[in-house]
Amino acid sequence: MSGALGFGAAWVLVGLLLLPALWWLLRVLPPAPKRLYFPALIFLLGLKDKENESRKTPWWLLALRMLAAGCLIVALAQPILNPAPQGAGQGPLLILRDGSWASAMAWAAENEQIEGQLQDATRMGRLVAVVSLTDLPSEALETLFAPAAQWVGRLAGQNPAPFAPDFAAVQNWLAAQGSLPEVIWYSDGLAHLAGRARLAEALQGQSVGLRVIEPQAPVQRLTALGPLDVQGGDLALSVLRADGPALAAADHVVQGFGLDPTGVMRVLVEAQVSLDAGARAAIVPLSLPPELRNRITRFELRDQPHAGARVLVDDRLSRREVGLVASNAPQEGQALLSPFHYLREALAPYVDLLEGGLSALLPANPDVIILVDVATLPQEEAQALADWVEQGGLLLRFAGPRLAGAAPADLQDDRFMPVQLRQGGRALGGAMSWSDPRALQAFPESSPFFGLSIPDDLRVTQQVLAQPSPDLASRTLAALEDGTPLVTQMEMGEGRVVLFHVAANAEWSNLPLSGLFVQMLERLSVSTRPISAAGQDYTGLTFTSAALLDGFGALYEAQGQITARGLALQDAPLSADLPPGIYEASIGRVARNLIAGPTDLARADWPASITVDRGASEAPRDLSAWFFALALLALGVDSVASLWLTGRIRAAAAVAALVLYVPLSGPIDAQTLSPDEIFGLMATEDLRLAYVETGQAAVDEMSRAGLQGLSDTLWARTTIEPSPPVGVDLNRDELAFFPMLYWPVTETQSPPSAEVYQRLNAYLRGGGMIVFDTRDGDIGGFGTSSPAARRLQDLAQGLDIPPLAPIPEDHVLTRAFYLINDFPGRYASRDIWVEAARPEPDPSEGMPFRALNDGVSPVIIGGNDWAAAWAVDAAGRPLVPIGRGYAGERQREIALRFGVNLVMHILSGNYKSDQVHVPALLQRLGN
Amino acid sequence: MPQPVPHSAAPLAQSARLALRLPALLLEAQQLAAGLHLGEHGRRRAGAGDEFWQYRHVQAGDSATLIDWRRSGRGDEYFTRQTEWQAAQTLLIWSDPAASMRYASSADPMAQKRNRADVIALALIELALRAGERAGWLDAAQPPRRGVLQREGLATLLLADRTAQPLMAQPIPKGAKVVILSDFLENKAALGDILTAATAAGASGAVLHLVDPSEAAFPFAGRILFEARDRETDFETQSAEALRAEYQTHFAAHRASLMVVAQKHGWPFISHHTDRPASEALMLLYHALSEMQR
Repeated sequence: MSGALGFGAAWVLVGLLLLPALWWLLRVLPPAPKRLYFPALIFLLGLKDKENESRKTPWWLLALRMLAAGCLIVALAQPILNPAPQGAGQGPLLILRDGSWASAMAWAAENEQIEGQLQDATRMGRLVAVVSLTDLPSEALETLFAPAAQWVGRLAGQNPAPFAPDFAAVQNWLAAQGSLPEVIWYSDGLAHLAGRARLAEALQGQSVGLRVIEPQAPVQRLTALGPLDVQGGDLALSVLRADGPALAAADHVVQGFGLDPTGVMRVLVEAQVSLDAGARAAIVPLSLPPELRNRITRFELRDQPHAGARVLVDDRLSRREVGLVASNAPQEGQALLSPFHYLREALAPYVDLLEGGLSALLPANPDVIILVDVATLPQEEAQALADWVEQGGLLLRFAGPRLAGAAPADLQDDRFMPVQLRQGGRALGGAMSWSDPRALQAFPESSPFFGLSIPDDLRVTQQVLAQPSPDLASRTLAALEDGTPLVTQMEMGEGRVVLFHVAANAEWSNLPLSGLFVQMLERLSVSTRPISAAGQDYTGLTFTSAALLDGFGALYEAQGQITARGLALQDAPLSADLPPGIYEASIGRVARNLIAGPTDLARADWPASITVDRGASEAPRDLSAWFFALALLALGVDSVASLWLTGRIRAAAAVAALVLYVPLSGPIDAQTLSPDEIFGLMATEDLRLAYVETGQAAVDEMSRAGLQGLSDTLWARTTIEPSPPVGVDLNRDELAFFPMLYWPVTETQSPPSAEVYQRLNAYLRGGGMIVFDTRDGDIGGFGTSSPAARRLQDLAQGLDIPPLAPIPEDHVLTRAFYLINDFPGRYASRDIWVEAARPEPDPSEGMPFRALNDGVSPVIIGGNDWAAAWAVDAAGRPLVPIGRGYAGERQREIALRFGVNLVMHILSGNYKSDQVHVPALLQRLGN
Repeated sequence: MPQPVPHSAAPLAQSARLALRLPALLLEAQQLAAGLHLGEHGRRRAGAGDEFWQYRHVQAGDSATLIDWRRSGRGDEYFTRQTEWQAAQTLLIWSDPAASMRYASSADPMAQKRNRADVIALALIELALRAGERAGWLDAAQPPRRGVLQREGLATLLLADRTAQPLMAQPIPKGAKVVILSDFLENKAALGDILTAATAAGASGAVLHLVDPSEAAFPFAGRILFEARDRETDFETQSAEALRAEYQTHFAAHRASLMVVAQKHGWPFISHHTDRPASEALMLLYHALSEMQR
């Protein structure tokens, strides 16, 4: 790491010579005098100063100002940390980068370095071209050279490829470009395929100068996943890393991803693996339950963002469920004669076999159902089976004695027969026969079996025969030498039915004994198994891409973008035409992984004549911003200190100003508050009672005056000291700030919107309280059909209100602060409704009320027009006359007491109910 | 949504600020006064007053109307009911209204000399009124009165601008107590005037000299422009610390001269630094006044 410091405009540093002059100048200018009002200065009048010389600026203030000036000069000189070493100088510059999956490890850092190079080139006015070796441009190199500033933008468009560069191809391409200017080559540190050294030598000869930059840190951290090894039910993954001088021990986490039962991609399995110091590979054994294993679609190394740390999993890993159905329960007999024996042997290693009756199997929804020698099916089972096939099931049928002997009518009715069968079948090469057992024809190209090699000794001695029909040829997948079909197929809905015209055991042919049987089952997607290294299985298949990996190891959908034929998928080197990913063919999905076989991640091997810059050289960093900031900070401190020196602010304030200096220099609009914030501040700085604005000025004003009167009373009589009340617009204002909402119900009020109801309910659930006042206590009891009461019912429809009940006599509202029995407002109706109390035991002996502890009622509904009784004018006098004479004043007083109780109840909950325990507590304390 | 009404009118704001001072002053004065008891104020002899003093046997020459029948009915002897003599005294206070009294070296407004003087004055008034004596401002036209209402009235007067008022707006009653609270920076001559007038009227009293700590210690250093109120006598120094000794000499001389004047008239002279608790000065004043009563 070189901590070198360079300057973009070094001549500005000459300005530092001015600092002594500045020092002298600042010394001469004294700070302004501190001004101070001092009445006792009469005692000073007539006194003389002893020293007449001007006071000096304090040395530390001087130093601060020098620092500010110095920083400013240095900042103007454009200081650069880790300046890029000067290259060959002028002329164009060609930047090559490997752009491989291994580069992805430190792609951002590499981009940053190249950006540094581009900045230098901009400064020097050089033309630049940046070429990724995995993505060779089709045009000539000369056309690529452009001012470096343009390339800064284009860099973002370059991405690492999920494969290694083909150095030979690069060499050919470069050779065609003629002589090259200065070349800088960013290497990923791996050898990849051969040819890196040759390319380097060629470049050295061809160019003005070659510099190779190969940072060490990324390649030392680079770890890849080897191929997946499937051994029966157990899996194993290998973890590889590049060799190097000092391989430290490292821990990695292998994660298996797949869709969980809800269809969400997530980590299904996680395994720790430790690479010992010096070790280059480790094996991660994984043992998974089949259900989990079927779901896994890829493995990843955590914290290794490149394509080499991904292993895509194809159908090989998932085990299909195959149901086996025989005509009836297994007969007694030898195992080798069992119609299931060869199927079991062929399938068991690769699939999960289910056996049983059709009616028991269908609900399990297997992938494949195999009917062995079943001639007739009951009506319901046939229907269920047809449904299953039409939904995409694969029905595989084998002939046998029963099928051969079935009545023609039964055969005609059989829906699951690809071809019409002749009754009886035929035998070839028996003791009573003239003919010889027949071999198989080569598979036609249209057959899924195309490419499979047929063993020479394969013979069929007995088969069922198809009726000739026009579509017989198109339905035949495999035929005997004489053209009689051996395997026929029929599409049925989304599924298909395949019939083997021979028995599933070795009685009719030796097909079940051969390896071809297994391969055929596999081609039919009945079973899947590890693809052999020989790769002959792929012959004749065409694969199209389903999802591909990018260089960073991310999988993206790429339906049909890439097509690969047969063995090429397995053998061709990865390139832009064949990137790693998941490919599909008729036999299923096949994964092409970046590291497919045993691989050695070798380090790049450079010719001795080339010097490789392995230093993790950091990108040049422009420090002028920091120096400007430092200068600004010094000036800020200086201004505060000067203020302090001249006594305009005191020390504490100076420190506070310094502390605030940085935050205050932020965006100015942080100081301006939005209307919502102003409302929030206003509502929360003090406790405020709130009322719902109905839109009718008279009602709203009365609510306001009423709550003002209540606030005044609370202030005078209790420790609750509310600020003036607030009108709340339900559509606009936040409700959560207010402990209670007074809601006068008017006949003309329109019901709030759904959104407002949502907020009101949130407010009620959050502990708020709404006091509904229908203001019609004079007309009739609550629940009668006064217009306001009807309106209230409409309004309350959308509210989340618990069951209500008339206020019980021992409700805590009667004693939250005052002891009251009635709740009058302008009217003295007794009909107040609150949340119904839970059924509780009767008041216990010696207690005046029941122990109702929790649950402050979220609503209080009444019609006594309390606001009018509470209302006061600006001078604090009652606004509305109540009753007559003294009795009226008494009623007003009780109304106010009710208001006090109400607010107490809201603010302190059922605290008063808890008071019933006080005697017991005191008694206990006394003892 | 009604917005809170801002205080926009300047005069209104000013009077509000003034009025804010009053409860604080009153409260502090009451708290100060609560620390002192009134035991020494009783005359401890029968005389005109409201408080019961004693039952005395009827003596020859007592009018029959003086007999307390309720007490006498309980026995065979006759009693008269006597009350304690509560001769009301007059307390007159002069709190210097000069601008220099507003000075405080600390930011706390209650540390201003004037506020300190007002607090002490109000506390004295509180004590006097509680003892049933008359109290008033020397420079206010309102005569000294008794009763709790007088306290509020006197306090309200504090709010008015008193600089233009005559030094002595009312004659000093004979035997009155006069308390002078000032820093004697702008109104040095007032001390002599009041002392002369009070002594002539046969009144006695005490002098409280209020000093801001910075006025005594002169803790300044460096280049300072000392501003006077009229800005004409501004004084600039390059090195305030060099002047400290001379300043302190002058200041001590000033104080000594005040003390000489006070003592010439036999009045106690108390110096009070505003960084000390007000109760200290109040206690000293209180004892100075009560000792004079004996």
